Amino acid sequence: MTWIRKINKTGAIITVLIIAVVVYLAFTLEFTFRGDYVAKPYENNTKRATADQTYDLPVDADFKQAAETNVLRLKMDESTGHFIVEDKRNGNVYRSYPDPQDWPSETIAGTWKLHLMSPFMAQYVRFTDKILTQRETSMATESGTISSIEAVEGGFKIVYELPTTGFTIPMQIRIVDDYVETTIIRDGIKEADKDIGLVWVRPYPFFGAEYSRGQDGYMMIPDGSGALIRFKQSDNNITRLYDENVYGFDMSYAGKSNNRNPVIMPVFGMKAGDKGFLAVLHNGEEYGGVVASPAGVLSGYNWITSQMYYRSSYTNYTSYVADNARVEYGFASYDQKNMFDSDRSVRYYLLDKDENNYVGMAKTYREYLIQEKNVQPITDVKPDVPVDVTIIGADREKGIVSDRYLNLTTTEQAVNIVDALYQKGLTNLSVTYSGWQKNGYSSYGMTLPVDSRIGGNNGMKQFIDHVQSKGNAVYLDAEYMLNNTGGGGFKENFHAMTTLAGRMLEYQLRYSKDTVKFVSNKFAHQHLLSDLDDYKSLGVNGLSVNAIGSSLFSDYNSQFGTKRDEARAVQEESLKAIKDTLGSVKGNASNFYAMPHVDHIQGMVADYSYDVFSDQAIPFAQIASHGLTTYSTKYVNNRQENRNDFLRDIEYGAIPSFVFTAAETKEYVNAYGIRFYNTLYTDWLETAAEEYKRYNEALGDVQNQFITNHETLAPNVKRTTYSNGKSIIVNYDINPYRTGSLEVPARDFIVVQGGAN
Amino acid sequence: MKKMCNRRGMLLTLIILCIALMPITAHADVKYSTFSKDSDQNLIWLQPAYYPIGIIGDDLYVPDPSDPTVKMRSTLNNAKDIFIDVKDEVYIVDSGNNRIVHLDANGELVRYLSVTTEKEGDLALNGPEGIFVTPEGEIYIADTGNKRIVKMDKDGNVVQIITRPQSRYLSETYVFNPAKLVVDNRGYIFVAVQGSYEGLMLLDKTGGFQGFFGANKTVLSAMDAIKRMLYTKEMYANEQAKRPETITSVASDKNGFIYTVSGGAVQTNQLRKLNIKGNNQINTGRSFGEFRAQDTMRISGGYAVVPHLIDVAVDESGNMIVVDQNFKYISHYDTAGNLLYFWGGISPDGTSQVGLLKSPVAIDVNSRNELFVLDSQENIVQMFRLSEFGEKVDNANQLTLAGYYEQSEGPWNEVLRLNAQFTPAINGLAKSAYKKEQYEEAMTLFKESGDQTGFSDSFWQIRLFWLQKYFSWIATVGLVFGIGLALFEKYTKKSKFRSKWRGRKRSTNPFVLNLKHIFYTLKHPIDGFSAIRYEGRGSYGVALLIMLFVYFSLIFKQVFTSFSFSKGGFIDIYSTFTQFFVVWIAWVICNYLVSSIYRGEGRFKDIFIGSAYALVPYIVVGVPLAIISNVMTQNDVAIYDFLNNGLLIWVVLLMIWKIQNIHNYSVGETLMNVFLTACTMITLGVLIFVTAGLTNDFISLIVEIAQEVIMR
Repeated sequence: MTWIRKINKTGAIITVLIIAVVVYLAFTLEFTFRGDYVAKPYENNTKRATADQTYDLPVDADFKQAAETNVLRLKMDESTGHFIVEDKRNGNVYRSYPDPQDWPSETIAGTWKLHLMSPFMAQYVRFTDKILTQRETSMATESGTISSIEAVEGGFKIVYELPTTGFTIPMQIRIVDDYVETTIIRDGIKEADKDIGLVWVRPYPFFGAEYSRGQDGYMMIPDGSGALIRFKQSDNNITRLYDENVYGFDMSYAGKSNNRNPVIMPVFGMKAGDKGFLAVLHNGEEYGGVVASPAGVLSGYNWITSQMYYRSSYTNYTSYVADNARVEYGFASYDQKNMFDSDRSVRYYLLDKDENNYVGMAKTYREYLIQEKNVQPITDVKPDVPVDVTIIGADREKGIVSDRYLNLTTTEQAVNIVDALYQKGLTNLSVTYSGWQKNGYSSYGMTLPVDSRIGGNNGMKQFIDHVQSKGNAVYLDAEYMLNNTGGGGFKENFHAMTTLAGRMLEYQLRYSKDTVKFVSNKFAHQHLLSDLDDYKSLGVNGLSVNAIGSSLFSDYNSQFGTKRDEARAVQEESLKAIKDTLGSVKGNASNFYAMPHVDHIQGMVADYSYDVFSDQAIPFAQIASHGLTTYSTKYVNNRQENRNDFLRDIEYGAIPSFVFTAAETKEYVNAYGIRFYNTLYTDWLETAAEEYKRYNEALGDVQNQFITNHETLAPNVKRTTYSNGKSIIVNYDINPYRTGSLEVPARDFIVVQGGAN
Repeated sequence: MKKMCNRRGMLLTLIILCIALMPITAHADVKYSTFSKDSDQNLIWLQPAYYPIGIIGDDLYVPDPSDPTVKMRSTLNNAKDIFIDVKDEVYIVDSGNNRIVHLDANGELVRYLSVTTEKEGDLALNGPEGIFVTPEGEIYIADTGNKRIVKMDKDGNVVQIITRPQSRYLSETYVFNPAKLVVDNRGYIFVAVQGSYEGLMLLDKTGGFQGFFGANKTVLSAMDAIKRMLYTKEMYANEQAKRPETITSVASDKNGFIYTVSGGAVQTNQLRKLNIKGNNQINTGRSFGEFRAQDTMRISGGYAVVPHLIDVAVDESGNMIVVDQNFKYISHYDTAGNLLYFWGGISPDGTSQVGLLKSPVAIDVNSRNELFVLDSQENIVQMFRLSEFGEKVDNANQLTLAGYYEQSEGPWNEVLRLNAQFTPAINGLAKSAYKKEQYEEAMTLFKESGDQTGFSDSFWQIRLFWLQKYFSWIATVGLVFGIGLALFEKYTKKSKFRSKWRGRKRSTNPFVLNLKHIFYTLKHPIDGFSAIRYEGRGSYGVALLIMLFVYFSLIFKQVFTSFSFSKGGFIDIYSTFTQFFVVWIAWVICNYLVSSIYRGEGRFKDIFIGSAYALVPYIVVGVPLAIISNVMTQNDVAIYDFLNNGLLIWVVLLMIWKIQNIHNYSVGETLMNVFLTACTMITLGVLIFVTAGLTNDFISLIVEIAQEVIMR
């Protein structure tokens, strides 16, 4: 060992360090040699394009007829891959590219001008990038080619090829009756370069795009119950862009998130002067989105389009420190190997003259729901409007030794509540009992039996019998998609929804630090099926579901996982199973795919997201669904603005809903799962009686009628007209409204019984 | 590293957001939340107090200079201030465009105001930041970039230009950068000058310097105080001068009060309501500008952020409204400075929604109590109207503030019907009950609303009545009992049963003896602790029993102490246990470790037992004190504090005697031992922390790997 001592110590340390550094660098640094360097195609291409291309839109003369129906005529241009649709009813022409008459004034430069000329835009990522950046491309920016065109019935099939990114994107354009349908055919999509991944495609994004030149026009976005962005001039401000996913945000792909209302209907529309269309994302809409860009934001055109995702970014976690501290951090990733499945079709229903407004769009969508989705109109109705009453049984709060059970309404007390309401004249009740399961509201996934502390199964049976003896219905509120109790044999490691990164999806309990796992749809479905007989023997009229029908997530659980589109199918099955076995099902803030199954939607959105670019909130969802299903908005006793919200219910045709407890509100201020302003039923009986009379006056005889018109008579004055001719004028203003012989008092409404028309 | 932290912060935020925004129950309606806070600073969710009624200032046009028939979009650019005059017309200081935008009450453009440069020597406006319009229509513009104030008549003609006043009271280096201003009915101008720590500059009609008004107090930190104490004069002079914070904005009301807000280092009294003498009428020492605890996390990724108030407005009822540039909340306070509610918040990236703010810079209120909020990043003005709920709260609160407690009862009850948790309403009802001399009810309500003083006052009344009613009884009973006792003492002194009682057979059970030793130790601590060490008194069993009782009495104290002295709140028996027991056992161990190498004679057992015996006052004083507190009011706080502090001092003294006598130390050695023990405890704490952290990481690593292996 003497040789060690001979070595110069300092020298040795330095040598070791240098070696270490060299080894480290050799493994980590990437050396670039001259031969490896290839100019970035994106920029390269842009340059070439600007040199060669003279920003020209297709010429009408190049278009050749491809198909014709009774109403429409389809023409296409083989060189650009664009199409034109002519509406024979009125001679309107819709182009799949921006309106040529505005083209000379377009000032946007470079790449964006090329995008405007293209039949589709696409976004892609390069997996070799250290930090993934999304880049946008289009036919014109890459001087894309058309590799084949083939006629099909009612239209043609076309295959676009992008030389630089290597994407092959086949589409099919068809006209049927009064709509034109564009479909991106999933089977034919090819990615030539395995390092370049397709993120989304916007098919014909500038379909019908026009400048704001004073014409009466707007874009209809599916924000909340619907909102209009009127044609005007906007700032070049990206926050004025509407970009939302259909059926809400997918927690598995936590990237883009904001507080906008989720999109519950896969529709969008545009009215521009005499022209107008409603677009319905007909197939593959689970992976779709809607983008609207008012004039001035991205080019001077108002354009609105669907955006079809083939990949989404998810968070990959790189470190895991401690479970309770939640200090892990991650980076955005995309699935390199797989793209989302399903063909993506969008139907553009072209509106005839008298239907060319948002009411016409909503009617068209209603027609679509009836024809294509087999939604049945409401048939049997009682003279009084139904009242949706939610009774909360119990919840828990943090106790001194362990959780404390908060007994809020026993089944006996529930009988009193119902009786008190009958006495006040609210006779057509539809009661939803929630928080009845063992340990109450925030015990998710727990199902029958009913907690003995509020009366047990027997008490519930008596309550149900009592309510049913008066001809009314009782629903039990059941949450199958969340579980923190192990109910139904749920084990989170096997049955919880999982992201691509292997994380379980969880729901943060609102008033506790605990999180609840989301249950895989297929497992939830099994669990539900196994419980249905018990519900039946208890005699309930149906179930009230929450996340089923309203929360749609991609799930990569290896055994029970469902992709987003499959998840939708499973949820529909669940709803159908409940309806078939028990007879009825209520949804909560449901997406419109639940429409064929649910008999009532609680908490249906009746407002927009207060985006600065939105000019008006419209009852699109309500016009489409009134007469097909009943819906309620917020609980009457949990309103934000009492009078406004009441008037809006009347305007939108929503039935009243309440949430009640027998216990005082202060009893549950620290409960894990619930917060309401005041639910003590005795405080609300008078209000309930008064408002119910007014609800009946307005909506009693139109429960099964469709809404045929909705207009703004003056600022803050709206009129809703039903198919039996009855109309309701609602005045939100602080001053009375007079028209002809009619006077609507301030902040009130009047009913105008219609004539024979 | 810093960058890394930030990045983590961002991702953390993302993750938190994703969880928080799970849309399981889609709440429609306005996109901002409204809150209030109860007396314990707990959040209360409210329905919106204000609801949006529109946006103005987003569709401004000017004629195209090349073709006057064509209108060009001309959006606000870096707008700085908004003012609403008596006719409800709106003036926006469009700083980036060097103009004032004058809109009518409906938000329609009336005109643009600017200074024409036709005449030679006239300077155009240059980055103006503030405006004030008198009831007569005279317009005062703080033309900040030109270091002057421009006064216009109501037609927009410049009538006066006020530049830096000349005065021997004004230092040569004083820079006159007027930012915000108000003019009182005498025509005096109060100017908030940028960077001026002297307060508001007060100018007379002619622009002559009249002095400074309402300077902030200098904020001195503890560190500054130490420096001041230790540093020599020369050293202290080298320190950066501590100056009062400058005033960011100023407003006035119809009663002549001047309101100022300050940002920066000021953390209390950021909002002041000054009378004509410059005295603050709401000097409560509280912090203004509300936020939620979780917001600090979201904004900074964990770094502490304090509110930065940027503007103040006063509504028709005299309520003060402030807007905060850090948390973007708009907070409302009543005339006395009590919080009513706060709302708003940060607008998420990539969207602009009504009610959520990006960069609020100014607010004002019109005669209909409609609130106008100017956002300099969005370059729009958002308009809000008091909601039904807000109106009800405001009405009821006005009645309470004016002392019409009974009349306020109905409105407060209505507020409570709409929101059962709104504490100010409960407090209003409590005051009404107190006024009506329904003290029992007042007491319950005060307790519910968290008002200790009100509770104590009500109880004082109840106690007074009780004493008045039963005084003769109490006095008689007391007297009879006293005389009886004295007589009993006197006549039975030599009686048999008393001597028999004295000579009764004492227990020889060691457990009983050890128990009795507790009281001996209390009476004779020195002998008592020596006995533990040298006579084998005390046992582990008794020590544990004492600890159990001490723990119970701690809980008992939390539960049963009167609300007058203790707010109570949530009683966490687990953390009480860990805090109490962990500290105690650490003390015992560390003391043993230290003493065993520091000439101590005590064994582990002695230290353990002695430390337990020294805590007995917690039981013998703490429990009775908690009980007695229920018949005391806040007037008797001196007695309560005396007993409470006496208890602590007693425990400390017992501890010291314990160490001294168990280890046979001198006083100096004892103190040294205490010091060393404390150091050891800290070291132990750090060690445990580090080890636990590392072990946790290691365990989670193993678990992760195991899961990976099992699941895949």
